[in-house]
Amino acid sequence: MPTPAIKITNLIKDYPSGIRRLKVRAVDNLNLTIEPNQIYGLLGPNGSGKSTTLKLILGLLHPTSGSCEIFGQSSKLLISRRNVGFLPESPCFYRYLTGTEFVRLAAKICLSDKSSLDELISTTINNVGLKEAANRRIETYSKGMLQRIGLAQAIIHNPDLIILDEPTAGVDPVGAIDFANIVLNLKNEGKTIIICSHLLSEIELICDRVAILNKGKLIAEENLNVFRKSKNNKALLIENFDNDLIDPLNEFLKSFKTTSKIINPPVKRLEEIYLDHLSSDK
Amino acid sequence: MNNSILYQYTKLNFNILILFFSLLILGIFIRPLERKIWLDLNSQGIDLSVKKTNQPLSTGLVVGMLGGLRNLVADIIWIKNSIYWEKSNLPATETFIYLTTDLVPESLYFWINGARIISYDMSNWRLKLIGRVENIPKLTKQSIWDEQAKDGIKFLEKALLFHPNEPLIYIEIASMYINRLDDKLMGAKYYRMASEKNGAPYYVSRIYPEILRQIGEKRKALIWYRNLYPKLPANNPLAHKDVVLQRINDLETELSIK
Amino acid sequence: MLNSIRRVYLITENCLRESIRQKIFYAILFISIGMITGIYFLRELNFGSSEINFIFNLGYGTILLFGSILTITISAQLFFSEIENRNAITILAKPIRKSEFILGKFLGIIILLALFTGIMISILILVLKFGETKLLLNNTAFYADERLLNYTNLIIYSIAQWLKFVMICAITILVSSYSQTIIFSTVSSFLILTICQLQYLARITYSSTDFIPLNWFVAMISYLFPNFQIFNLGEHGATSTTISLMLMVKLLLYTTIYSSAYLYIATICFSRREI
Repeated sequence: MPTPAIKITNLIKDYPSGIRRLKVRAVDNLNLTIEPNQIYGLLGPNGSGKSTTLKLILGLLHPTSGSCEIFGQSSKLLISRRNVGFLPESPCFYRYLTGTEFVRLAAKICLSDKSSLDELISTTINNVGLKEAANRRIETYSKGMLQRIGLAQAIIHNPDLIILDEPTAGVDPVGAIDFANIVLNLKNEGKTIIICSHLLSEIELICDRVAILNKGKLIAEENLNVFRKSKNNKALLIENFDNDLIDPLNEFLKSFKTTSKIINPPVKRLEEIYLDHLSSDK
Repeated sequence: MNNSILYQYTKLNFNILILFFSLLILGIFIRPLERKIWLDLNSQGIDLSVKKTNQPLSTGLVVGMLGGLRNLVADIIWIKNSIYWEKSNLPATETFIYLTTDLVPESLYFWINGARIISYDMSNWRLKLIGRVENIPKLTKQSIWDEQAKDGIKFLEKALLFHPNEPLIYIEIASMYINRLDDKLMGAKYYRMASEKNGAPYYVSRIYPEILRQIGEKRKALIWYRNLYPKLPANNPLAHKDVVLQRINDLETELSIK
Repeated sequence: MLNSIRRVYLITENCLRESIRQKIFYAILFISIGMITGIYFLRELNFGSSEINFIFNLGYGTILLFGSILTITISAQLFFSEIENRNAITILAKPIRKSEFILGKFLGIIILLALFTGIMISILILVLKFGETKLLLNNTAFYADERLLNYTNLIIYSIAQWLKFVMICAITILVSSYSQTIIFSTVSSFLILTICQLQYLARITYSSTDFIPLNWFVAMISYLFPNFQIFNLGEHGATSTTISLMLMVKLLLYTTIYSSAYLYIATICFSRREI
């Protein structure tokens, strides 16, 4: 059995809050195991403890109790972060550096071998689709470009675990799709990717498995396919539908000891409409 | 228990206490080194203590608060003062002069220039207030000169508390006695005191006997010149050894001593 | 160990690059240069050799004042911008310790301060040399060599000032590691700077008082805060005595002990705060 990419055991994190220093529990007895080579979605509303959990995984915070391991190494150890790449939520990064300079800094911190560094940086920046803007200052970047350069700095050292915190928040749908494709490619390269988001459509597109957090507690965890499949339901698309068909259809279905539930015209998701229009405009 | 306010407060205060005692122990541990540095500074002629200034506590506090910045503040005040000086504003100029020397009593610049302003410039300003200088009676003129020169000398005497070995202050007092108070005897006395200090310009030791000569103390002047001559370096043009020799010869002729 | 030094070096290099590109650095630098050079042309100062000391005092005070402002503002700003721009979280998610991060930032800032002090003292020396030459040419008969400034001492004074900036930087980083806002950090650091500047005076004033609690309080303050007066070597003008190397070594030791302690505490506070 392979070593889990992440193993969280009985994790608790309390914060002192306000002038009275009362404790607020951000993560409440969390147990989670994330197997390697999958895209794992961490869902939950704002304040559900997603970001705190990520910070605990990365060793940026000390847990009140419990433990957290990355590929079998305690996340308290420096060595555990050697194999991790992280893209924070809404980053601004070093505004005065160019994209290349910033990725170079990240590479130098993570890699002791300096040979062919230029080539590695150039390839990584190309892979995230920032070739043209690589030598521009980061302060001139759009939101989507910031996310791309953030991803480049996260993957420059070829880590096996990549953690993305709200990677497409504020990014346009085309950018989000491009980003999703890059993430899928990373998965195909054997990486484990954790995406923390409250944008369900994004998770739905690419994740293999999701966990839902609320008030610091894990309330559900399952493979996305299993979540989506409810019993043995199937949707049937009927073209040129006439309302007179409802009763005979129900009669027909009764003979098979089954029923139809809601029959509505199928609605295209806004994201699909937007993308259709954009592609037809091209 | 863990969630109680008391527990949280205790925990917070405990952290502050740890920080407090850590810094206290560090301070105690490092004090001998600090004392050594302070002593080293004193032994190398840098006395950073403000104790000797004998200022009132309020001034002392300001001085201390400004720390190394008081020179800067004093300089800025001085620059501001020069604006009042140009406008011949006597009260403001006087206040600012005293403020600068209170702030930085170590600065010779403020003492000497302040005294010159008090003694020479301010007497002229006062005279101008009375009327056209040439129309003012000589007695009134002299009385104002006297008052201001005495103020200037008093100011410089205060400076001597901080700079007892500074020849430039003695020279300044001497010139005030001679130029304004017409007191050559006192002027000579201060020139002599100046010449006895380390770093005194060579010319001071020639001015003193010259004044003696002018007031009729030629024999005293000759003795002074004779004592001075062997001490002067031959290779320094500022020493004017030849001039001193010439004056010895002149005096010997005048006194018929050969 | 070598890896740790390499990481600290990278943070230092990046911090220096960041601080050099800060507008506030240039603003303070140009104001300071303006003040030092400006004094020479501001007024007709032909009072004699003490004019040179006047220029020296003004220049020295300018370095001290603007150096302190630069140290506190840039230390607080760089620290908080790391958190606000999410650079700290990005960098610390990599194999790098918080202590290395803090040390790297500290070194980056103190190198910038060395640069600032170096530029300022060079300009001051140039202005003084110019003034001195003019003065000597105009008064050849009056001034002997012993009245002129000791330029080696000026450099030593500026090194002592830089050591003081190093201490102020460590203090600001310590305050920032705990504080939640840049305003609090800046104001607190200026307050601590004042206490450090003032404590020796309180010690002198109250050492002989009969009021025991006051004595104890002053003694406690003097142990809690470093004495900044020992760095003000040039406060009374440029002396002719050459400052001994041993004294500078002691000052360096004093600075190193205090700064290391402050950075150590800062690392502990920074490790506990949410970034």
